[in-house]
Amino acid sequence: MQEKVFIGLLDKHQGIIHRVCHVYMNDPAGREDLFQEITLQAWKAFGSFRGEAQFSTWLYRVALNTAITFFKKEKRRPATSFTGQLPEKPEEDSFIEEQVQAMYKAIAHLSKIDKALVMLYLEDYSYKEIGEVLGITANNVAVKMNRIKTRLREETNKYYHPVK
Amino acid sequence: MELDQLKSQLNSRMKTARQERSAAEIASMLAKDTGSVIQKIRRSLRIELASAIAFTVACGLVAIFTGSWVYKTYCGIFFFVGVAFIFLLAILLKKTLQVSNVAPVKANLHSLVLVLKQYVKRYLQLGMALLPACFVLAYWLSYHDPSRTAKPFRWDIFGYLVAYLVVAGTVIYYFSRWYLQKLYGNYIRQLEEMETELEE
Repeated sequence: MQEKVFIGLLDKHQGIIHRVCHVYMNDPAGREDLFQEITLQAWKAFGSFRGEAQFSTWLYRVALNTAITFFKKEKRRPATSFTGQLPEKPEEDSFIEEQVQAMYKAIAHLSKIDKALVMLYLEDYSYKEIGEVLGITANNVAVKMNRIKTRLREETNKYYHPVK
Repeated sequence: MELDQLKSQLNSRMKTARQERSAAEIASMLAKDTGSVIQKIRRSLRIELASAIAFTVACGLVAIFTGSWVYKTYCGIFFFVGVAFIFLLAILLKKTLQVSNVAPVKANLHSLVLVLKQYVKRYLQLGMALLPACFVLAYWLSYHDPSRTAKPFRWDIFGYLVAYLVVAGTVIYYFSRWYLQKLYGNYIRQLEEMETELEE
């Protein structure tokens, strides 16, 4: 019975797990492994979910904890190599498309902690809510977000080359 | 380019990036084994606990039923050592069960680092403590075996045994330390760095 409830909830919110996998893993095999791992960890921890918080917030916490501590032996690659890309929208203006891809590449090069902050920020979590998920103060979140935004601005300039 | 400017595009692109899994696919995942480090350590501890219980019971049975004074004493002592090991392993296993993925990220990292460091430290300490204990006890018991004719004490044999113990102990210590560092050292360091990053 509990398994059915869990599967129902996870099916409804699996987008959260997909987002986390996409941000934390650059290759499809890695994303597959991480998706599997997050699903398992969420199932093992489901007994502790009492409904005090929203399931989505609870799932984000489990997913981020799993992704951040996930250990996968990967073949050594140069730090600058990046194989992931967001699916393109052909109807989208190529100017915006390039900016989006450049920003996504820049996010992929952030540290694991900064990625978690960006993910929750993109989901419109308040600084207080982000702080609760990460276990830090809202002020600390604000300082870190300012630093991340500055860094992303600088990093995207490396990947974005507008056609003159 | 600002993150806020591209927020809606990034969000909608991440939505289209995913491959939906069916409820049946999710259900099939629940039966699989997890690959997390802490789960592997828990599994390892459970196996070690089961082995320690089996070994302790075996020692107890041998101590009770054997006629040999040497085996009786040796197994009797290791029965109590085994009981102590069982308690230590149970405490360590309990600590690993307290690591929770539902805790805030910083608290989770902190408890994970503590548990891993404890595991590595106790593994090394207990392993190293057993080696001289087994060796010295076995030698002392066989030397004092009442069923054998008393032999004069020989300093050269004693010297060789001490030298062997020191060399073997040193090699095993540094090998165990290197092996545990290789397995967990880098991982613990990464977790500590992330914890520091959250505190900054």
